[in-house]
Amino acid sequence: MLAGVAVLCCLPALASALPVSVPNLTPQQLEQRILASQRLSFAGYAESSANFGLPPLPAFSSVTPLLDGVTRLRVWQASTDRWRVDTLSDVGENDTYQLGADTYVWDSGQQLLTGIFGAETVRLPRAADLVPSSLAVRLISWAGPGAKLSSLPPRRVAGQSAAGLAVSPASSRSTIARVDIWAAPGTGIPLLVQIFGRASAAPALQSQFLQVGLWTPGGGVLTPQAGPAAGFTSTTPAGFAGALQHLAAVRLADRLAGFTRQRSPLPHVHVFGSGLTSFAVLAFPPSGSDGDQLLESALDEGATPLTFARGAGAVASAPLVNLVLVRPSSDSKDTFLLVGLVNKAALEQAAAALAADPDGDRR
Amino acid sequence: MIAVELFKLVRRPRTWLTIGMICALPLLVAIFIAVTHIAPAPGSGSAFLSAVLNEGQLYPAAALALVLPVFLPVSVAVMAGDAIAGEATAGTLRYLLARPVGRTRLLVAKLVSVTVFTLITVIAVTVTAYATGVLILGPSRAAAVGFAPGSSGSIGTGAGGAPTAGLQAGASITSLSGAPLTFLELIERVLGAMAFITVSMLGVAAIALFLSTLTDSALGAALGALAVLVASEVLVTLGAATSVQPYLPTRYWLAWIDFFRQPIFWPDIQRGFAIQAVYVVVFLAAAWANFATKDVSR
Repeated sequence: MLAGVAVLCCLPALASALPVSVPNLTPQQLEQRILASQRLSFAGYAESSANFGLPPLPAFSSVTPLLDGVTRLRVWQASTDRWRVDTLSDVGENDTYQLGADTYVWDSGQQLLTGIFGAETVRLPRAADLVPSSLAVRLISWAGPGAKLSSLPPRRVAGQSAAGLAVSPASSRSTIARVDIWAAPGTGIPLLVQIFGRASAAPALQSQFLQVGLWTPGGGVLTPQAGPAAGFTSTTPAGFAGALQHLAAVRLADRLAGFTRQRSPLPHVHVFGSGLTSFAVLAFPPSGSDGDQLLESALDEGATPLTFARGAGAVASAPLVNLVLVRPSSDSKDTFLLVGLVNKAALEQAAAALAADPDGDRR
Repeated sequence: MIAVELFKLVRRPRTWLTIGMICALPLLVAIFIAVTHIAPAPGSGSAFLSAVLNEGQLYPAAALALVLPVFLPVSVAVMAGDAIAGEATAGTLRYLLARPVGRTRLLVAKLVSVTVFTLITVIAVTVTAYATGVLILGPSRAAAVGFAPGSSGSIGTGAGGAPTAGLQAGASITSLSGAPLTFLELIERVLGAMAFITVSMLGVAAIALFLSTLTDSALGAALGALAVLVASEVLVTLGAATSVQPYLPTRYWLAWIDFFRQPIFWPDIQRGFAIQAVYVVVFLAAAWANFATKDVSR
């Protein structure tokens, strides 16, 4: 009987140890297949796990849970602009439907379906971004042509043989040391994504399909529905942007700590650097509650205080993301949030430059 | 032998007292919610409880979520722990085995008795909770801001009309995924949840029954089974124990909630059934192996 129990316990390990066989692909070929897989229709179940330990800032309460613990994701994708991702919990679920330019969000706790009509130019990260397929494509795109590509040994993921691709950012100032992606060699669908920081040999974030397969769209799965007791409301992308809707429009220098400012469609969000070595600068005005509370909340939650020649701030570090808040002591009363994938020293340098010369003239 | 054990089960006042106390908890909670109109905040408290003020028909699911973590496993562990050890403590086990009845048949009869107890309890909780939900909390009602895009209750691409109040024809309740469920679908899913919870409790019963064959103390057997469950619950929430979590008896206990998603989310339900089947088979086999060769003196 004990032997039988031992065999049962070993079944998962035995299954994962089955020999894997993948065609011989160059890293570039695998990269192209992964990028081409975006147009496929597939359905599956994935789990992402991360342990960033970011302070739970109230203004970003929808984001920080994604970066701590396990997020369970149920995915249906018909095309890049028609999909559904459910975030499952033990007491309910939060679902996101993409129907062309419109987005619908279902919150089972609130029993509320929200229609967001119009393209979202800027938004906070959401659970759907953690699905291995979209995460891998986004990381490859961000890494750009300068990234170093190499092959990884094949492994079995979600019951399939998967070919491996390692992507290393070109810049040493990125917090990301390496991204490992395993994808089904036939379809190119990414099955497992591991993102490694520079301080640890263990992945800081991992997202993995546990079940996935090609899928024929149908059955109304991609159509948001509201039951008898559910409410419905509609809004605009700006109205659904959470903390981002309270941002101040500020003018910033073209370069900050050696990073060049990208062209931004919005005056509220400035991005410096590029791809996997970039950070965003957001300005919160004092009139909004976010601006008043952000720095205090960060310090209360354990962020390290910073003192600049002309201002004060706080810094919080996570394996892949660094975050600096700075409140200049000049006429500008805005609180700046610098957050991104660059190392702490570079971000603090940028924050010091902002504190010294916030240039917060309103447009 | 099975008939004798079942007769003993239904004849004992403690059986009905236990079931009554388990059913009383959801009733008490419903009364408080109905009187105060204060349900737990969305995302907090037991599953479904935040929604029952608007959808009383969903209360059976909320009631099962209320009794599953503590009341149900404790009662099953006590019943199963008492099965053999209780007879030994009372000094009746020797006389039971003196009859021309095999030990295996006695063990099977005890297991059937515990299974029937579990089933009766789950059915009683569900039925009383449905009555409670409809009578005290009220049937489903439309939200203050609902919408009825056409007659289907769904939104087509690009729909952006002003929201209006409305209900889908035939819809009974709202699933966790937002899609409406008909009354028939609700019945099917509640039955599925009841079956899953019953099977989950059989795992507890098998562990307690095995411990009951090891000791003459019914209390010790019940507490031993509960200690296993508590340890399992601790490890389920421990990040460092990820590698063993898929094998823990309580890992998939809450997977019955997946019956109320649209579409039903089957993977964890299947794993839950499978892991409970393994626990039942392994611990019943251990109980049989121990009991069949046990030296019974009392």
